[in-house]
Amino acid sequence: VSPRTFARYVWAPDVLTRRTGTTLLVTRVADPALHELSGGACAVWGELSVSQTLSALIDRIAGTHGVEPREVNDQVRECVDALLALGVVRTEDDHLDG
Amino acid sequence: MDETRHDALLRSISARGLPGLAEPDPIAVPDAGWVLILGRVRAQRITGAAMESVAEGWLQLTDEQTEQLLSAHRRAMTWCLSVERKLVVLSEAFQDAGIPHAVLKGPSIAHSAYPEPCLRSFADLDLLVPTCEYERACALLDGTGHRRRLPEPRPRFDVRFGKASVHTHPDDGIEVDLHRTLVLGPFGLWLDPEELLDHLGSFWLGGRSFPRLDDTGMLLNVALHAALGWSPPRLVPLRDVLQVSSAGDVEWDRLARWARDWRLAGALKLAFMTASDALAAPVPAAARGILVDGTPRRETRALRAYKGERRSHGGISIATLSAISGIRPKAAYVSALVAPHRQFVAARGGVEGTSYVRRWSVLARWATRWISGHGRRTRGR
Repeated sequence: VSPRTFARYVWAPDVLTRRTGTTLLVTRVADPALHELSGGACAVWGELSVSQTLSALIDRIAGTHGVEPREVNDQVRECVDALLALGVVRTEDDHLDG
Repeated sequence: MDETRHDALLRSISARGLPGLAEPDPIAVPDAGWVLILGRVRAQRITGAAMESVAEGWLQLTDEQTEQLLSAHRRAMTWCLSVERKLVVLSEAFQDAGIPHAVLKGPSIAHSAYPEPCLRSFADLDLLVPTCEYERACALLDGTGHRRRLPEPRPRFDVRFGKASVHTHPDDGIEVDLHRTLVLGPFGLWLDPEELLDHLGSFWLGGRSFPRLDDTGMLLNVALHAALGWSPPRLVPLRDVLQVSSAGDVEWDRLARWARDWRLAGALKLAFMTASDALAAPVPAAARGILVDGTPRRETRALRAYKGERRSHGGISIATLSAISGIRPKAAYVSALVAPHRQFVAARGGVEGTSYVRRWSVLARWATRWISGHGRRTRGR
């Protein structure tokens, strides 16, 4: 079983955000780099205000868009990986450690 | 589109979403006037409201105009995020130093009174500290690399007669306005900032909670800013008055008591009337109670000092003098105005070596105007 199966994902604790029309500006207190999210990334971001597993997140995003989870599975995973790489999302263990 | 229609459009944008207001009729902006409109939208810091107006469909912009507005809004929001980052860092430093503080306006109102923070832009950070902690807070800002824009005219002038000082860090250019009271002049002296600090609320930002004035204190703050700040008033403070009074959990009895005890009834009334008139929006029903009483003559006189020519001709200083109790404090105030430290004079003049002569000639002109005006009023009675 992949560790990702049980990992929970959530916003980094020090994120600052602003909506600009249909996009979202995201930055952190600890890192002034500014990231602009659009489209599906905004939907993923919105869901991650509450910590949840990847499979729960995929189910929720699929439900919101009225599609089967397998149809959004890859995109959501890629998006979460990108947000993790930017440091604006953490796994809950990181969050608790930080 | 002439200037009157430009004004009307800006007011409609500022007022959008207020309770009791119908959506404006659809309006397009001809390209010829667009640059001017966009400039004013940016200057008034209402890019968020303008974006929402476009989304609602009544503000009809071309694709190019929308893109330019979005770009301006993105810049405004990027700046707001920088200010918020600064708030997180500074608030932590204040907390570590044991300096109580409350965030005024800006981020506090954006995150607690508006449906979304993107609807309320701001340019700087305003922090209120107790008067007894003001000098320590100034020292903390200095110790963290901020430079005070203007020195005090004389030692302890700020804590006796002042409102706030502006501190800027050379690396980010963000202004931190450190307040010990809400407004300059008599109203700032009459109100009791310590009591305001006894009634705090909070808001969340970056995973932390920050202290702010509760909704009643916040309404008082924005109303004083709208009535006594810019002349003519800017649109955002006027919107703030109606926004907080309609969306906030205001204790109207407490506000009425403060207005009475601190001689702020006239200023509050002016704020509500101006906001209602400028934004063509009704005064919230709960607020009408504080509008019914007459304004005492002393408050009316003080209010005049903030308006028109008087404001730029020493009106606030003269009104402050009359609000200071006791001969010795009055003398200290006058001597600080007449003979401030040389560094203050130089900083005010913007050049090294500015002489006292220029300052005294300005003060003499103010005095002459005031005496001749006072004589006319006295004879007119």
